[in-house]
Amino acid sequence: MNGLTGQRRRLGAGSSRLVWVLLLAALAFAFVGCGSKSSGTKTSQSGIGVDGAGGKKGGTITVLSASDVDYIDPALAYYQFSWEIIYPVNRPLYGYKAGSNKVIPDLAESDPVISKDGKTFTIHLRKGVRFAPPVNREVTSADVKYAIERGFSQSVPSGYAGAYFSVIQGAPTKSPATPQPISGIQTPDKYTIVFKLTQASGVFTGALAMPLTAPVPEEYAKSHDDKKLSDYGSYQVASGPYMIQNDANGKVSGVGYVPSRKVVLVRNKNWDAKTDYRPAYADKIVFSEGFQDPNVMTKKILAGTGDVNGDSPPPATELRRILSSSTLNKELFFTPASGGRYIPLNTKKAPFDNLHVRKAVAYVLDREAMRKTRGGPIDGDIATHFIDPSFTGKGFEQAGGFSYDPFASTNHAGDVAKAKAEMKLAGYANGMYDNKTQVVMVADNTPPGSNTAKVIAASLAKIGMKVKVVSVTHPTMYTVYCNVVAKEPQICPNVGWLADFQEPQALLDATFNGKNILSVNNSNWPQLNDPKINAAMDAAEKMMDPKARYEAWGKIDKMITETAAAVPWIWEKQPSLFSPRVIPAVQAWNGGAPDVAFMSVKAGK
Amino acid sequence: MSTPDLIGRDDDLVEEITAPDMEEIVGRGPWELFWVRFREDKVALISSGFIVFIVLMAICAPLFVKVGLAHPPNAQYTNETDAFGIPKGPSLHPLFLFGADSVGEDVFSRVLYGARVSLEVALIATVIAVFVGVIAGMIAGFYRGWVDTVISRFIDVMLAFPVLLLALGIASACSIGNGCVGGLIKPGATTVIAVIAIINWTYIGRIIRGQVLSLREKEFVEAARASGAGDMAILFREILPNLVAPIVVYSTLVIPTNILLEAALSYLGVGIPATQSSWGQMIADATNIFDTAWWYFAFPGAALLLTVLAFNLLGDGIRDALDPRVVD
Repeated sequence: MNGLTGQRRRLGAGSSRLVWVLLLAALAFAFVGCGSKSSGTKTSQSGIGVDGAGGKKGGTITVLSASDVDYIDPALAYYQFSWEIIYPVNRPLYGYKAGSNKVIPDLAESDPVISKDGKTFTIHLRKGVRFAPPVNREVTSADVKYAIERGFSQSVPSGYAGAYFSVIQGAPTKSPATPQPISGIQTPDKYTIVFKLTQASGVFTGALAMPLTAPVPEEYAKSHDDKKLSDYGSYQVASGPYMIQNDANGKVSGVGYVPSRKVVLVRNKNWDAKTDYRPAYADKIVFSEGFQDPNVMTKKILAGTGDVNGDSPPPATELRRILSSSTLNKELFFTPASGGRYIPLNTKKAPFDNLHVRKAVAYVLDREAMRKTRGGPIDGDIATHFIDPSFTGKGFEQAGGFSYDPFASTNHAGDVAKAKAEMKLAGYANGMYDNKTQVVMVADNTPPGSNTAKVIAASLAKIGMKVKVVSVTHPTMYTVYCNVVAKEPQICPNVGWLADFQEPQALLDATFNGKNILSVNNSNWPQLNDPKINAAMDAAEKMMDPKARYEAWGKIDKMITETAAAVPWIWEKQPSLFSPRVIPAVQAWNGGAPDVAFMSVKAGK
Repeated sequence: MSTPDLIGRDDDLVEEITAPDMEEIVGRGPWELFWVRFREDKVALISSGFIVFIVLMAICAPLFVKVGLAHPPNAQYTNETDAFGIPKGPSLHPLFLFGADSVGEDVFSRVLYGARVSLEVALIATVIAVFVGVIAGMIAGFYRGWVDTVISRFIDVMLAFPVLLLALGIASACSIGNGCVGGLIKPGATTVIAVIAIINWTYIGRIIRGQVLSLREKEFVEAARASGAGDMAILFREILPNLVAPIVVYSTLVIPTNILLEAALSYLGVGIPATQSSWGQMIADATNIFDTAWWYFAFPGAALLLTVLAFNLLGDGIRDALDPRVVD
């Protein structure tokens, strides 16, 4: 029995380990039941109009986030959280004030002068805007020209240059290795820039508000952009009121930008407040990353040791508690995100290549239960089509507003009878699916996405679909499955889309136009390729008159909704929670993310 | 001088010497001794009682649903979550004995069905691990030479891998698409069983090898060889019966570790898919609302804790009953 003596030592460790488990369990019980269960909810306040007015100069603001930016280079950053940093540091041609989603001149001094045929955009730049150290000189139109050209190269692979700027004459169809000049971008003098387009574009002004148009000094950036993959981001030079803290050589990485740890913004000493609409109250802004647990993040903000949530919403339990408190309630804002969440059904895979099966799914899904997985009514309105309420006057009413609901059901809980009727039309006896082809769903493996997937699976079971759920991390769901045409499953339940700027085209083109089905990095998840819809979109893209344009896109929204290629389910309102020591300001145009160029520390704090 | 009295003994004297009240002493086999000692160990008895109870509850889970004490485990009741999607606690009207989870499912029935998953996975994985480990250990210990070297070094390499990383790696690789090993290991419960078995067989392999090394030198093996028994006969008729005790003890002690390992893998998201209930997964889902929805965390946690504790104490009791020297 000698071997067992060794076994005994292992067991000894096991026994004391068990004692620890018991102790921990006892402690857990002791902490339990400390949450309040109040059910009263006040109406939530909106982030629209929250612009930080009345602030005073000075102080440091801290933004807490779970994860890092996607890219620190202004041409590459394409993520809501990244834009909280990019916009205070850079001045694109056009920008936004906090609390509003109206496009206003930023580096440009006025609206573009557009030719009658809509193909020539002439823009005059402000004078006296200077780059931060170590470049220091005045910004000219050549810097904007270079900034856009670099986004087409393989060295600086911008995620949206092709979508919005390929309409410029001379824009490359195949990416050159390093930035090459584009003939359609002309700089007659150092304060004027002219864009010559191949066709009229109604949305080009909105596209000019994206960070790709923020000036980049070619003489300074060239050595970085000439590499296989540019490292300009680690050496970037600012044009806005703030800059990422750098050393004497201009290096930001390791100084003001420590990946996954922090980003530190300090004042750009060459910034002239007279040339800018931003107040830039705070002296220093720290983006502190790594707060994976939203409970911890929220508690820190409420205690005042953090100032606002950067990339994660407070959990539903905290939202409930804050909304029922008359003091805490004042620090919480819900901003309608321009876009929403929907369930795409892969129209290239059985059984969703059949219109009636898709309609059955649109009828049977319990959208109310799905919304509850994200916090219930405070999280937003149930979506019945794709252009969301933030587009009032810009396509929302034209698409039928709240009352257009072709797959309506009582309380949005789903209509099983109508769903079964559609299944019968598709040829399934009794209205129940036969499961000959298994329906596969690739979902998040953590809440709330995993819970949403569970609710969807339960709804689909009502029409006999036995769904197989594959659980993976959120990024894997996108990069390995749902964005890759060859591997996309029948259902991707955890996707959503935010418009890049406030135009319906930015909402519906990349996501539902047949010409935008890419084999990798695809955003047209239903792989919808309807010739009528494609033609309607191509026509609408050329409309210069806003009224005609929004009418056209409203009709397109209805057409897409009726194909049931995707089932919209929520138009989200994203919560921003501010600490009591700051005056809040939100990027209403970026889903309510905090606008640090407009926030300030309250006097005496 | 002669002593004729003692030589020609009287029958009456002889009868007086024998003690009339003594019972016949019957020799007991080792298993009988084991049972006697085991019966006297109260803790071990309670533990085995609890395990039987849990197994019965797991088997009778559908019965609970039929009778109405539990709701079907995957049925979602939207009324059991409030306006914010936060679940409601234990209640009698409607009957949710352990409360509801984030999508309104009955925690009581999920704990019962989760018992099935945890026990099945741990037991099957343990059986596979023990089977492979015992075979490997017996071959290595008995044949020695290069066979032993190859098997032992392979075990050393496997033991050098950090356990959790190895588990996560295999589980992640096999959780995607059609699984691995040509579709033999499919995502879900099969992957978890495979991972646990792969991690565990090396420990029992080593232990058994050590046992066999000493057993093969014993005299009864020599005797068997002398009487013409072949290798297989010696292995299975002489050596294996002597390994039963360590195998039983090891198995009982490793089952709770495997239950926890399955829970850990499910907690980390690479275990049982979300549609099947598993204690580890329930605990994972409960972590971000445990301060308001304590029941969602407490009941699966308590079930896991008590089951693991019971198996550990049972294993302790079996080991003590088999080897009383150590108890002293």
